[in-house]
Amino acid sequence: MKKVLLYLIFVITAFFLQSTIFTIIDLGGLVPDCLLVVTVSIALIFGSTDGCIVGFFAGLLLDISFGSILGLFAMIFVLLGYFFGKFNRMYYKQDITLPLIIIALADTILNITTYVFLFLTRNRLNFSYYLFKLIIPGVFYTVIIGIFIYKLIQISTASLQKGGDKLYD
Amino acid sequence: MENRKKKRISAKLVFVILMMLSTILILLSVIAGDRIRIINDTIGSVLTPAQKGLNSVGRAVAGFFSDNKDKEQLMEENRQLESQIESLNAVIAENDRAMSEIDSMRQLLEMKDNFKEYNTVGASIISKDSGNWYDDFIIDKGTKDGIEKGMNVLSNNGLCGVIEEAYYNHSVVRSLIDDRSSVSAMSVNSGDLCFVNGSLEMREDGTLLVEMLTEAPKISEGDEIVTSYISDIYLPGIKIGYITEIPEQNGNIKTAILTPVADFEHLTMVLIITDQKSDILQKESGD
Repeated sequence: MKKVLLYLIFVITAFFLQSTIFTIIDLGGLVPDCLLVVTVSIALIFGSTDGCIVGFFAGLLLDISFGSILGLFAMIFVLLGYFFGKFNRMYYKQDITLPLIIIALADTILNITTYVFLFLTRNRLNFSYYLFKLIIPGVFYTVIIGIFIYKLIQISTASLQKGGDKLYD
Repeated sequence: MENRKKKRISAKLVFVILMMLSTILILLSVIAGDRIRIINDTIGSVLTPAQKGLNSVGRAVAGFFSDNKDKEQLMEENRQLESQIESLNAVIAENDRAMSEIDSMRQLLEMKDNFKEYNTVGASIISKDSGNWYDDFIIDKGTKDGIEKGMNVLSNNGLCGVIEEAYYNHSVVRSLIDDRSSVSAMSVNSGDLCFVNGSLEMREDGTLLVEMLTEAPKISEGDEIVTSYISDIYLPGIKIGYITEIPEQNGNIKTAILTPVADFEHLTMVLIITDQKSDILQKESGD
């Protein structure tokens, strides 16, 4: 129960961060994908089940506030949460490289899927432009902010993780 | 949590259920479209006041570096003044416009008095699309203030977008610079019709792409571009911006680059025209 409450707080906070505060103090028009970071962080720390449940609600929140197709981001986030939850076996607390790589990878996948679904389908073919102007800088920014969010989630759920570690051994 | 041994097996099950759920949602929103808006409306209406509050926190943080004394008071005052300036500017522009070229255009279109004055509502922007791909933003006015889908949104006397979705206490505005935005427009000088398209690739320069529709258009740099009279959504004669560059094209000009009058980098207040083109057309045909 405590876990559910914490997840709820993470998701809501990330959503508000992403849609309000970060859009005002943005760097070069970029906003970090905080909700994605929350999803993959939880997936890594607690596994696929938690990852895809959190992902579903995080994606749904994005869909509700902005998306034109309800459920699209929910689906992408569920996939990402499930997939990166598999890395839970390799999770250990002090490691920072794995979460870094996972956040970067997940954000790249998210951005490329966004491009494919929402831009390529409308005949926007200049992929290299989007890659260098949006995807790479965006991923970079997300990773930098993401590491802090990851650490924050890890610290605030420390008491819940002990059981979790044994569970997946 | 109850049965820990089962957990790993159930991950797959949870995954499959959630995937099915999102597939259903996608299908629903593609097929049913407007009928499931109730979901967005309810949840969005709950989130809006919080975003409003947090946004002022964000602005305060952003403003911290520039101004330290009585921030909130000054910013509140500033916001009110901005909205005042916005509406006054619009009035001035409206008058100017009405006095000059619009008169001849109106005669031409036999639209006479219907377009003389538009009713407007001011709104402030409370949040921006949470991603880097789109340029949507949310304003603090919704259906309860008379906002409807398709209404034109102005800023700095120029067109800046259109209401994409209107909910109870907030609305989503699709900005003119959004990659999906396309406005039917015309040149004031020559009357050549064109499309003004938003482009993600040009967003950085703050420009829009003009796609000419007529053969051999007579346009030159500095030409004013306004919304055309053939659009279903946009009211005619709203200023969009000026042509700033015409790229070399062998012989026939097909595209040009336009700098909008609205400043998309610093949008905080916008003005919404609550008259819709479809209503005005209906009224006219009813007369």
